[in-house]
Amino acid sequence: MNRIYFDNAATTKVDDEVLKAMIPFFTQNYAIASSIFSHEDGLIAQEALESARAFILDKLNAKDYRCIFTSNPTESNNLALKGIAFSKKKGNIVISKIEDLSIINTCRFLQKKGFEIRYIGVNNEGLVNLNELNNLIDDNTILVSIQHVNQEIGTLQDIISIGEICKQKNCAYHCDATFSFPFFDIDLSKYNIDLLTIGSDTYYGPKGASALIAKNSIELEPLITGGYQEYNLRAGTQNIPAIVGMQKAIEIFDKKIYDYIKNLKDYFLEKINQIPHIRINSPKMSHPGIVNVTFLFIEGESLTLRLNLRGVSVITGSACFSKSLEASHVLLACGLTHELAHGSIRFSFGKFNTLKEIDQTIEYLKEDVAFLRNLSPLYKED
Amino acid sequence: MESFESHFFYPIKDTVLDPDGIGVRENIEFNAKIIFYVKTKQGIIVAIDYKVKACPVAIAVASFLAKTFKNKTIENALSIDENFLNSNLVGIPKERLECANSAIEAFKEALINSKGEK
Repeated sequence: MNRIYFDNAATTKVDDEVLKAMIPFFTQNYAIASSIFSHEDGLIAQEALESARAFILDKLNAKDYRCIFTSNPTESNNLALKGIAFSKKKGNIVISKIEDLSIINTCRFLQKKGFEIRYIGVNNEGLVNLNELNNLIDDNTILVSIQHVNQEIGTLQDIISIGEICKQKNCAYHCDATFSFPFFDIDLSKYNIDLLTIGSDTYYGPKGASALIAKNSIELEPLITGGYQEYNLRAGTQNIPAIVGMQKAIEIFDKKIYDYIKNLKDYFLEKINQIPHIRINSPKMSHPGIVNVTFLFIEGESLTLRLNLRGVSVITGSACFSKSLEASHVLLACGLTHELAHGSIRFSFGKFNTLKEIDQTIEYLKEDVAFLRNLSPLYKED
Repeated sequence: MESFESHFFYPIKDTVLDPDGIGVRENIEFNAKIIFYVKTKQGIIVAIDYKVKACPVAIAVASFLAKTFKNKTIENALSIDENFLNSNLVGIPKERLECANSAIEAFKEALINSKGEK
């Protein structure tokens, strides 16, 4: 059975071109970059590493920044938050209520260590209130961390205005751009972003590579100590094949891919309206490939599993009778009731998906939603 | 052993329009609900129907109960517990046992109510 993969916001298939660029660094040029002073092989690795670093900084127009390679966006986010916090030693951090768990749970950890965490709410589209942000920042604020694109509903934050506020208030701004870059251009010479997290595996690059782009003037404490790699901020052998793959994935990502994915999303949004009693939770201004939909009167998990058994991969966040399983913190922060949050499913499209796959999935959805509603005590036929 | 996935995807049940007993379990906060409707005759369960707005486990367990205890005695069905379920239905995740138990409780309540009405 050919599966239909609509979970591209979680991770994507590696592009063939990316894989091709990576393979020599597994099979031929497999030396580690820090061997530069000992042999020629290390020099090749070092050149590949520095070439990727320079490419990424150039792509982001980041002249006074370091590109610190890490293993994944969670690590980059940890380095940004803990790195600043342990360097400053005290103060408060402002984050939105819809950040990724790598931000929220890192802040919970820092709270236990004595830092104050201030949470900024969002409206029903997931947008942070800029006035509230302005009021939350004070002289003791050491960092604001607000993402660019939301991982569940795709909301696109106004990171230019957020950066302006942080600059005026003289506090550092960290932006988690894991789900936005390279779908959206980020120009660090114009945006007031001090720290930026980017990933690799949500745009056809490999897992195992990410970067924290940090302004030179920002002091960070390392999370991992050992060797002198990555500006002494992230010890350990760099994952050269993954970093090379990340560079290639950025290189080959273009507007055509963006437009293709956006077209899939628009087509899906048009077709999904054939199903009654739904609610689109993603705002109009959002990631080109992310759509979050609530199917009223049924559990998202039951629908997800039925789709999975038919060969369609999507995700949900629901709880049922089990108190240990909570509904999506993003949807609840956007003001959805538990009922609406539990009936939600995220569809995330990618460049390897087709319109035909969407047609097939819509047919499955029509059948499965009707089946589950027929079973639901909350549903009364029109 | 029966398959959780099979019961979830192809749930088995009767249609009971005039039940002798109804049992309900509800989680108001999460808006999850299970309702069982049973028809009995001289201590025997002759038909089992249900409505479920809950996770796949709740649906699969409801179907399993409907299949297993049709034409069995009420007393026999009232003796079921989590262990019986674990021994006969494969694939229930541990963290969802609460959902499975909610279905069992609703079923038992329907059976007890059916005895009271007779």
